[in-house]
Amino acid sequence: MIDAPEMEHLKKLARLSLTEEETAHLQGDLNRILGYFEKISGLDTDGVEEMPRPVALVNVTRSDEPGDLLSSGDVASVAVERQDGFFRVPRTVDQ
Amino acid sequence: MFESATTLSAAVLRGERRPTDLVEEALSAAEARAHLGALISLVPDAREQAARVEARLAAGETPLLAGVPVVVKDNLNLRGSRTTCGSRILSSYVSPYTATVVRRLQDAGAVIVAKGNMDEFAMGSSNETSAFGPARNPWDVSRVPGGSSGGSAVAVAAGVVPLSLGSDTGGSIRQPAAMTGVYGFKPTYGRVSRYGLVAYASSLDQVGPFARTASDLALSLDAIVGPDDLDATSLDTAPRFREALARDVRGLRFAFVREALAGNTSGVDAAMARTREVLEGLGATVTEVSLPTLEYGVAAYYLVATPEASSNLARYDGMVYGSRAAGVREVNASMSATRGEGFGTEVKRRVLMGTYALSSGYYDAYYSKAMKVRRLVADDLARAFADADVLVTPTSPFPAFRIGERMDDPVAMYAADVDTVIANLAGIPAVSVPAGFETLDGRELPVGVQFLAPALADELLVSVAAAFEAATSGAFLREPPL
Repeated sequence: MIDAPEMEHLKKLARLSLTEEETAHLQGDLNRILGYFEKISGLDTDGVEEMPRPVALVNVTRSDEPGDLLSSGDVASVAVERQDGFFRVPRTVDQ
Repeated sequence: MFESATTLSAAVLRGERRPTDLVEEALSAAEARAHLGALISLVPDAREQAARVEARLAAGETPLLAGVPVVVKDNLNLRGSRTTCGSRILSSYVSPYTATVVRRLQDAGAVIVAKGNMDEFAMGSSNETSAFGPARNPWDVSRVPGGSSGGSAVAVAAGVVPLSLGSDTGGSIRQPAAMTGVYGFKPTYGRVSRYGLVAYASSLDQVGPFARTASDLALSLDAIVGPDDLDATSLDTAPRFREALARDVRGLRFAFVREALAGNTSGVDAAMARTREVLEGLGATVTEVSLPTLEYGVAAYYLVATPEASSNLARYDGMVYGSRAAGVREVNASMSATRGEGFGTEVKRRVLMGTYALSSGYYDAYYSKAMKVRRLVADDLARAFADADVLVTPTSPFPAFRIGERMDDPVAMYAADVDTVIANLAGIPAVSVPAGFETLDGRELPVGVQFLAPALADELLVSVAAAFEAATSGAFLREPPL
């Protein structure tokens, strides 16, 4: 069961601010969903290897050939905030 | 526009139809069907794309999809066009590049006219979680078209275009195809490039087409399948779908999945029974097989998908692109506020669930456990394929439900994916074929049957779809009452 303090921890980990109402609602949802997921907890998986992906490809690399790349103008076109051709973000370190 | 892509491209190549006219027809149809909410945006340069195709034709080229108007789901990037993923957080995002699969369509002569409505970040089974409003089922506008690729399904079902692309992480192509009465194909994981597809759950996501005829399915798959240097998970296998259209299914072994035969509506049961008769009539062998792990698929799917989603969606923090919450100075607070404002409820639910399943102390019980159950599901399928060439299930246990009917109960919504998630967990190909109708509240609603094949046997599914379509004289490929 996810309790209120754990819910606050999850919100912090997920960088997600929620209203009190949303928090309560989603906490209820998550617990109901977890209840449903209990279905698989009783399944015997001793000795079963995890399957993280469906294809057994390993270390695929593309050929190292020069090709068309996005121009810096194209890349900068998606910026939320731009200044002098750079991406502008909130201050991340204190002065 | 209810002509097939096969018919249209042939007419274009004979000089009887012009791509610049076809694009106008598609845009008019889009306007006439605007009430269905199938499209999030029109592609700004659709007319220029058509003109470029005409120039290529004039230069002697004979592309496969010459001048065919196409809709692509709004999680596929197209340079110069918005890619919103059905989310507020990307509502103003304009792609600076084009997804490989979209480029392949364009290389094949198709014209991308619009971006299809979808559940936000492909998280949903009804198209109701879109920040741009729901798409509506053309068979009954009070009902959902299924999801998450609901808009792409509706665009084809309602005759806006003959072909569209969706993405399928747990059934997001097949389920809306079934609910709107068209074909929906999820290829083997890796057969279609995912470069330029916005990631939801990377080990499950796959791009595929919607179409109204089996031959259009083949045409579109021949255009989009193949390796891509820009996608490290893409497989180097040549597409041979048109060749597969005429292949006989006589002697093929079909196995109906026993666990998928219970709990369906009467219309779905009737479609399954009819499918059995049709296959037997075609000279195929029909048996039943047990897949004991089918009932664990949905839980395993959501516990694999949500951790992947919580990681993939970490990039939407308002720092580089997308939108950023106003007036918040501290960086973590800015990210949290941006995501709180920008994401809808279902995305928040899945991000939190995935974060929980990956968090310290719960990883083994949830994420690791789910990856092991995933292996059991894949092993179960492999066992079934030892004695069968093709497995058969309903695509969905029920036809389209009413808008709002399942939104308050996420567990009930997730349960709708019971028959489709197994293909994504195992990475195998599957197709939903229109196979019947069920009348609810005086309205005929389409029902789909799902065929599944082993990895890389995608072409076989096109043979089955074509044989089924021919044997039933296309009886289930009707135009909705628009």
